[in-house]
Amino acid sequence: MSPLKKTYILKLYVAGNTPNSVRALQTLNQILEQEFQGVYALKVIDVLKNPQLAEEDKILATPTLAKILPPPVRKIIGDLSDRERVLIGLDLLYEELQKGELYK
Amino acid sequence: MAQSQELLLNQVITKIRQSLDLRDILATTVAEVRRFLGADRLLIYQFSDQRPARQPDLTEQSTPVMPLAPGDHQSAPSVTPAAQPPPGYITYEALGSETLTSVLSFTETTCFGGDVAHLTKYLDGLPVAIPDVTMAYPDAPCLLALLQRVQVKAQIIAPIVIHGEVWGLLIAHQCDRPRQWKNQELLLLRHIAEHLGVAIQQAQLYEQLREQAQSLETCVVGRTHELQDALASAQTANQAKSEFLATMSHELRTPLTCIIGMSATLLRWSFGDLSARQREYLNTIHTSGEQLLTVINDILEVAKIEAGRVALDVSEITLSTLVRQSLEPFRALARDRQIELTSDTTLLAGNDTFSGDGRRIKQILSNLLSNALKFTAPGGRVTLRSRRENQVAIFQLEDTGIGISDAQKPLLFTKFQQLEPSRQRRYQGTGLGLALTKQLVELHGGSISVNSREGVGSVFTVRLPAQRLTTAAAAQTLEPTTLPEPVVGRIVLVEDQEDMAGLICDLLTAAEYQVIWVIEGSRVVEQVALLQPAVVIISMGLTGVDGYHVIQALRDSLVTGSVKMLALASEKEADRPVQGVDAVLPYPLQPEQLVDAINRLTTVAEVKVTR
Repeated sequence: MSPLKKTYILKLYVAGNTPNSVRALQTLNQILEQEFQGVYALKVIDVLKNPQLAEEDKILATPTLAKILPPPVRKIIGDLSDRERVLIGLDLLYEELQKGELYK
Repeated sequence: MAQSQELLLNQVITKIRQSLDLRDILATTVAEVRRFLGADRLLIYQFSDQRPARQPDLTEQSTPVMPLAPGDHQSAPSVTPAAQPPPGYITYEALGSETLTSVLSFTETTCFGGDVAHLTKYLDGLPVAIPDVTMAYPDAPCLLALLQRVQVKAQIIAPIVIHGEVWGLLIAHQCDRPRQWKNQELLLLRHIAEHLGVAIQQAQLYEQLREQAQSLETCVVGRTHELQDALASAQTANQAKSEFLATMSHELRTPLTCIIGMSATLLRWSFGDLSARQREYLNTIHTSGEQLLTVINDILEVAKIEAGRVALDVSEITLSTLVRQSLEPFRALARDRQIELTSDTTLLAGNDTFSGDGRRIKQILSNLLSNALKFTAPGGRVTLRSRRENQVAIFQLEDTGIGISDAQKPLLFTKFQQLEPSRQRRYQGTGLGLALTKQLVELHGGSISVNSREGVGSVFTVRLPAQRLTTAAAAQTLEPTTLPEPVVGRIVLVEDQEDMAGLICDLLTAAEYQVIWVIEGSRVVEQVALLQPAVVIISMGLTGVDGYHVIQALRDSLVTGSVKMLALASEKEADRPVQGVDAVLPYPLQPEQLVDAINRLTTVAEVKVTR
């Protein structure tokens, strides 16, 4: 049968309503919609409102996207405008990465 | 004389050729022949049925009789000769004058006593002439008396023979005097009897044909009815099956979702509190639940395709991306099983854009990949090659697995068929995978074929023609800047209780929803406007933000005004009814209630979208 679908758990850390934060959510939303058709739970955390959560997860800058599951945990810092970087971070560009390494 | 006789014969023959109405033929012939002979009476005596004159010894035992008079069949058949039904009836009669007694309803049983052995003498078809009855039947006083009772003085009896059996007799009576019958007259009667025999035979054949046609017609009508009934009951059964499946899907999936979701929650929460074994058990519960859900979904998909309720969701897709996305979930499995999983998309380069149902093509590839990995031993190879021939995308999946024997190939794409007998099963599966794959391929108007040698491996080849882009999809590709259609099944959860939110996320992701969990509610309206979810779940117990205000704000906004909303209200809020939402669920949350409520809300949303 088809493989078990992996559920992705993602966290997006934003700081208030800054343009960067809004853009990050917008970009991530588009990526999830167009490139990623699996199941995910995205936790949106405003570090200004929940500084303790940011501290726990050692978030130093916003916006930051963290992939918690499936392992390994990866963090992508920045406004997510580099789609390729986000995809690699989400393990969606796994193959290219591997191939690139092989052919180098 | 000879000429007029010829003429009469011709008349009779013409009548026979022209008419299929035997009664008309017989009645006319009887009248004409009587007039021609100048006889007082001309009769046709018809035996009750086709007496086996060839075996006269059998006739006495049981001869089925068709009584002419309605009263006759009430008399119980008896073995005494007196009660014997008559051997035949006079069915046609022509009389020379009105003063003569009609013998039409005359039945006589006693004289012949049912003994028809004498009939054999007629089989040669030769007529018997009796110039004077008193001279002819001195030994049969009964018959003589009978003849005299109807004033017969002389007669000719010509047999009508059909198929070597005496069907009846053509009898001419002379009542006023004994008569020396001429040879010509005898000959005429013989010819007439022969022609009547032919006519009767024709009529019988015609009747048979008509009966067969009629029974055939009845058969056809009956069959048609049966088919209609069968069709109706099949349709009913099919509808019942669809309804059953829909109900089942709900009844199975909701509890299963809770099993999957809550085991996932437990696995996350109690990290430190669980022994390795407890953890392993929980993992098994979780994985088994997910496997079961996959199976149920596959069965439903097959049922849906069969019911013709599946339409392709065609859009512009990138083949290499699709291949990559299909492969990704299998990499870990291949690594674990030490199978080399490779993909070759080099032939797609520069010709990568395709129109088709991406989700279903992925499903096709996933099924084939899963199959290939399942039947390939560690150390083996699985290779997916993709190429393009004009408007056809071709995927070829090669494995070094156990292979398929020629005898098994026809069963390969059959539903619920597994090539291994169930008793000695080494490989898991419902047997739906390839059948579903084939259905999906055919839904695309494509083809799937297999080439395999036992012990060497298999190559599955899928050819999918490009689909016509629907106008909406085409418009979308033309203007990439337009906001994409909201994904049905995306849910925004506004909840600041970590435990509760975690459980809800697990439940909803187990039910295959995409969840975006917003921890605090200060910017919900902007976020919902941006994310375009199908449903917003909002806790009424948020710290720092008033849930009632958030709901009101969402409803007031032009962008989010029509979004479905589900409120989670604790007892504290019970005295303050929540308004403007589509559903309210109480704390403590019942997992099944939540899944049901969300399913209901998204279904309504879906209906809205399709309209």
